[in-house]
Amino acid sequence: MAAQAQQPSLLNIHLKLLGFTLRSITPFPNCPSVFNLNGKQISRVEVLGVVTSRDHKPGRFLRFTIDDGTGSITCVLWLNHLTSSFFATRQPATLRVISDLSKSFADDLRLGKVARVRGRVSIFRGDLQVTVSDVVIETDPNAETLHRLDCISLARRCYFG
Amino acid sequence: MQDVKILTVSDLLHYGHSHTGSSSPGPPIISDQTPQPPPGPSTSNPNRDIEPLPQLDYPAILVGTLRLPTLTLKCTLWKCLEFSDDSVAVCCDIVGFDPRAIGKKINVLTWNFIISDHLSSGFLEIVKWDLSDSSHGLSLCSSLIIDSFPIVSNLIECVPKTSNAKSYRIHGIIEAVSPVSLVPCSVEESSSNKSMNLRGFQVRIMTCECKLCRYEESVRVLFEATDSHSFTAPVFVYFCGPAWCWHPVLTKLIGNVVTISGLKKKLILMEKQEPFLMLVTADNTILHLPRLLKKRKIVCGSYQGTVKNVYMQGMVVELDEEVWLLLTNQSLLPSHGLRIGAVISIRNAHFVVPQFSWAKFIVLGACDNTSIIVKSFSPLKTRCLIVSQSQSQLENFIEVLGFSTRLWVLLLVSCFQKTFSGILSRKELLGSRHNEGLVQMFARSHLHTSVFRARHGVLMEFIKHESCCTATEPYPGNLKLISPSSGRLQLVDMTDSIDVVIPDLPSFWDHNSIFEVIDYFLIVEGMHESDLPELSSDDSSLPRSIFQGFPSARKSNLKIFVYFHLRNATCRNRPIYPPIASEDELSDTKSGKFHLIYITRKVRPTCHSMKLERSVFAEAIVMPWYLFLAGKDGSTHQDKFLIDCTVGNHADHSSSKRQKIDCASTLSGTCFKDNFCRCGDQSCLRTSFSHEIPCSATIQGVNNFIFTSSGTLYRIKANAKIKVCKGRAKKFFLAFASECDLKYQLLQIGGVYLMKHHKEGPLCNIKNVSLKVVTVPVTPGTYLRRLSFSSEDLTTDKSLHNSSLCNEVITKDQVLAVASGSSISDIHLHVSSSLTGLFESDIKELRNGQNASDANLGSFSLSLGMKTRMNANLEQNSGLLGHSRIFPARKFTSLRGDIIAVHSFDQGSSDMCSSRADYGDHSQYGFCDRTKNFCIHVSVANQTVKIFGFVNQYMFPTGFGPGINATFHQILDLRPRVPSTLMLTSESSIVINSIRAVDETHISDGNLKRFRCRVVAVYVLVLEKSNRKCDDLNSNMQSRPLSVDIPLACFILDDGSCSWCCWANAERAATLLRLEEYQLSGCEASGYKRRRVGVQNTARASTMHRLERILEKHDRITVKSCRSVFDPFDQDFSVTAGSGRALIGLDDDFDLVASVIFNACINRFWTVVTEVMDSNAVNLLKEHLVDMQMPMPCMENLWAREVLSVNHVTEAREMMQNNL
Repeated sequence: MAAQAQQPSLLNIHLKLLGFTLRSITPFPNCPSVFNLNGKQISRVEVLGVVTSRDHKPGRFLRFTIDDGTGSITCVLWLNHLTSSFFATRQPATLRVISDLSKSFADDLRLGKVARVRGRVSIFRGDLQVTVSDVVIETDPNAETLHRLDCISLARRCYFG
Repeated sequence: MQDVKILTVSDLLHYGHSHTGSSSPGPPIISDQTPQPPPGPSTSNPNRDIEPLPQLDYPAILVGTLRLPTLTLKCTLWKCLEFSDDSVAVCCDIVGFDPRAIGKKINVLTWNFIISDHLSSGFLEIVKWDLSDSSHGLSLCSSLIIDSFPIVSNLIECVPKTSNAKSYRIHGIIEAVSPVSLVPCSVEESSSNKSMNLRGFQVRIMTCECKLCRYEESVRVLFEATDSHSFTAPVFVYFCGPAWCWHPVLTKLIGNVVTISGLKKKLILMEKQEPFLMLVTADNTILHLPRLLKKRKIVCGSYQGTVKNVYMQGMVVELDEEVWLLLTNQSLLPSHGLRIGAVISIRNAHFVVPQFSWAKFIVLGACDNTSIIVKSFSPLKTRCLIVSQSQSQLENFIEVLGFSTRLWVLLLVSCFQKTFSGILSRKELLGSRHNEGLVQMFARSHLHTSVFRARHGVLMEFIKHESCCTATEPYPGNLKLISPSSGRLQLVDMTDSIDVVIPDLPSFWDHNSIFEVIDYFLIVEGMHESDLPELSSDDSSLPRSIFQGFPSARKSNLKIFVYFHLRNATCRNRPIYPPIASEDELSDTKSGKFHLIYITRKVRPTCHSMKLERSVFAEAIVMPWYLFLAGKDGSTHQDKFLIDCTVGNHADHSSSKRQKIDCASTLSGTCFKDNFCRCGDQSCLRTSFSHEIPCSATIQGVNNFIFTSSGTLYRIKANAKIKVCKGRAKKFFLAFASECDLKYQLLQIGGVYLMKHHKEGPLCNIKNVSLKVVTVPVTPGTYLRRLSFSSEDLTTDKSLHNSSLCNEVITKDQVLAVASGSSISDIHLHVSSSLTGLFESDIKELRNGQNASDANLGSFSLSLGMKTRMNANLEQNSGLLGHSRIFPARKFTSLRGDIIAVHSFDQGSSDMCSSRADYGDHSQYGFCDRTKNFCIHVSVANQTVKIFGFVNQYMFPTGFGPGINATFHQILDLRPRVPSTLMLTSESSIVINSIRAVDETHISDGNLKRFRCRVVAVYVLVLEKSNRKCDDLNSNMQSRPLSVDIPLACFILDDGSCSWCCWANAERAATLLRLEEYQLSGCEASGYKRRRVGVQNTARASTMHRLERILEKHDRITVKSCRSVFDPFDQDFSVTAGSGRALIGLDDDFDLVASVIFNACINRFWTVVTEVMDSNAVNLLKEHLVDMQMPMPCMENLWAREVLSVNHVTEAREMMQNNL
């Protein structure tokens, strides 16, 4: 256990997870924003897969799923930065930039595209979803391969090691 | 209107400058096809500076006669038309040629006149002209259109002479014209046979065999019936004897229909071929031409292009569109008008696409069927081509090769010339008329015999052109080039070269030797570059790069070199490198009297003075010691391995050791007495010498020849009666001639060297010892050997008996000695232990005599590693060295320590900025523009010292980098003005003492870490206005200096397993911020772009440029994160301008800064090489952050040393291989 205690916390790290691994994590009972992965606390992930569905509510959100071949992950990209009170504590100027960026992400997230998504894991109506922080549309098919290898390698070395 | 002046050729020659002239000066009208000046495909193209020909500023014409070539002009081509007036004749060429002008007076309305030293006068390029009297002298066979030109007589006559012999007529298209050649023959005269050379050339004419042509219709009928002819039958006409001078006319008529009458048939016998029927010109041969010449046929193998450059004395002509014309047979050269910028037309050339693995381009091969004419003269002030008269073996060798192989050999010549520049003479490289040179030997050894073609002479090959045309080029894919010299010690083979570190390289190393190296370390430093080659390396431009001497070396992030001991290498000398006369070397080395000198510093001239003075200098002190070697009384032996040219473990030295001891005890004293003191009084010796110490010497000779000699070391008293030398200075400068650069490079500061005593030698016969500056020239024959001492017995001498490297793989840190003290030398003295102490104290005394007090290094306790001395006496030497005045009253220091890090820096570095102000203009330190800014972190006595320098990276010796132990000599001490700072100058030199090598497939040497990661957030960012402007916005972004300074930035990086606080500055920070990318997605998404419409698609719209504009306003911008650093889009910022004013959300500038940061957080993976920061550095950063009222993030702090983009394929492949 001492050895485990010395390991750095993964709570603020964007873990690279395959779909089926991500779907296996469970929230800690009293802390819904923190999840349990093999006994480790995690909250952020990076996933990569093909956009297989999208539900766009302009000015509110884009809900989409990405499928990496091992599982589908539901993601939500908020588009209401300038109207929601949730962001009231943020700088208006920064929000303006983020809002514009999010809209451009929403435009880019077309069906069939390969997207790399970073975000926080959450539970919505009992289902796991990722609240998107940023999106990168990958055009190099080798990026998918590398991501899978990264997921496997990190799982062996770090997440389950 | 100004009067038109009539100039004579003499006037042009008297004017003495190349120029262009016209009857109507104004905007120069060069010709109807004015060629563009050669475009500069690369910045390294030296042609870009070629000026246009200056124009005469008054209207003028030339009046003179156009004549066929004669042998009277001093012209090496023997085929130039001549232009003459009453004053003088010159070679000329003409565009818009009309045969009617031959022999006529013409008015030259526009011309270029090129002065050439190699031509007796000059070369006239006639651009526009007309006949002085168009009604005079026209020869018409019909009243309509046909002109007739008697070939033999220049007199124009209407009716040809009649002859009894049967004459023949042909009507056809001129297809090809051979070069003019000489055929030895004998001519029967009335009384005797006379030998002479028959000058002539052949013309291939495609004739028609229709009825009209077979029956003797009039010439006019033949020309009129244009549609009835079918020119399919080749006929060869030999223009010989006086008809040879029609060569330029026939060349210009290629592709035209002509009739030639009055020809004779001759049966020609060539070699062992079947007899061949050929038409030959005779006295009454006439050339018939229609007045209006019409090109009927486009000759096969034609190409027209602009000459971009001419290399290798005209053997290689670079044309536009990456076409390379090979003119190795210089008899094919057109007139002297083949100049850079001219448009030339090439007919009957071979189009070859070489299959070289290293370059792609088209070669136009010229053979005896090829004709080249200048279609448009060059408007540029470029030189005429001059053909060399001598035919060397190399040229003959090249002529028998296929075209692509020819180009390879020519490139090889260029490579060899650069590689062996200053080492081998031109004759040794290229050979002579009778001897093969190194290039030819090298090429021959790499070419299969099948590539050599038998040659049959011009006459035969012109007729048998089919074989020439269809000859398939052997596949030359295996032919490679050698790299041009890097100025470093390298191992070179046929494929490439590699830097080497050879610790035991003797001072008199024979650089011609070929070595086989089996035991070696291959040391690699740096990161793997991506699979993608550098875009800048354009394969098609490789030949240009080589010919122009600008090797387009591919940049590599890896520094690779080989480390080995010469004693473990096998010498594989071939007969082409005859061994240096080792006997002479031995006799020079093993006996005689030697001075001991101590090298205090090495001085290189500045860039400015280098042009004037090639010499380099080393300062030396003459020690009060002499070495006498008994020579013949000692023993010499050669290792058993040397018999088969192998140097390896040495034989038992026991026998030589015994001899040595005997000699030392009996002979040395007598010898010395005989040589120095003729009075025979032993007391004289005793009073003159304080010490007389017998010793034995192990001497390394040329080609690893090792022998021993007995001797005696004498230490002379200051007040000695004996004067060994007539005049001797205590301190002097060794002046190395340019050909002794190697000796200079191998010279080590702090080393003791032997110089041979010669009574009349420059060291021993100094006329005026009171001179402040005494120079002793070092020539190739100067004896200069490094000396080392030990008190050990010979058999345990480690300096010559180190164990081999044994092909071992380094499994842990291993220190490779490079120049560690006494272990490496040319001559090793075995003395009693008492002497070594005495000797060292002498050296110390000498140092102290010259040096100021020991270093006072302020807060650092570096006294162990450093010595400082004032530069007082340098001022006095400024007359000699020319540039010492640039270091007025500053302190020079030597420092030895472990290199922790080396990096180039720029203005983004805050410490650099502050320091630079103190340095002033770096040009004052004697550096040229090619220098780069470097910072070297050196660990000395557990403290870190920074050494800055604006230096050329070639100043760093091979292997220089983190992990080595090095001594820095002559570095400038800027303290206390600039705390803890030292500086490299042009006088500095670096000696590597040892290299620490680690077996590291993946970098983690304790200090360095490599991650593939993404930016999560930016914690701190400081942007400053740059003082450095880059005017050329179109230049390569990678090579441009940053136009925005980033003294400090802190990024939060995350690789999926951990996150770090990564500190970066300058280029590293700019890369992580993606500032060099034109598209700023964050910026586009924000309102910023919308308010700056119209500039986003240009280079000026780059993020960097926008930041530049903001910084123009604010000078400095500080961005601090004031929210989360773990989510890219959960960041808020406080942005402060240089004035202290906070930028708020209403500012456009705030939007841009925020966009830059968000943009950095999306999109890219980076491979970041980082260095773990020590506690001092972390504390320093903490202080910075405290000033900014920010806490230090609670994560590991790293300093970015390198930021590289990620290649997905490479990374994935590596992961597959290593982890799965």
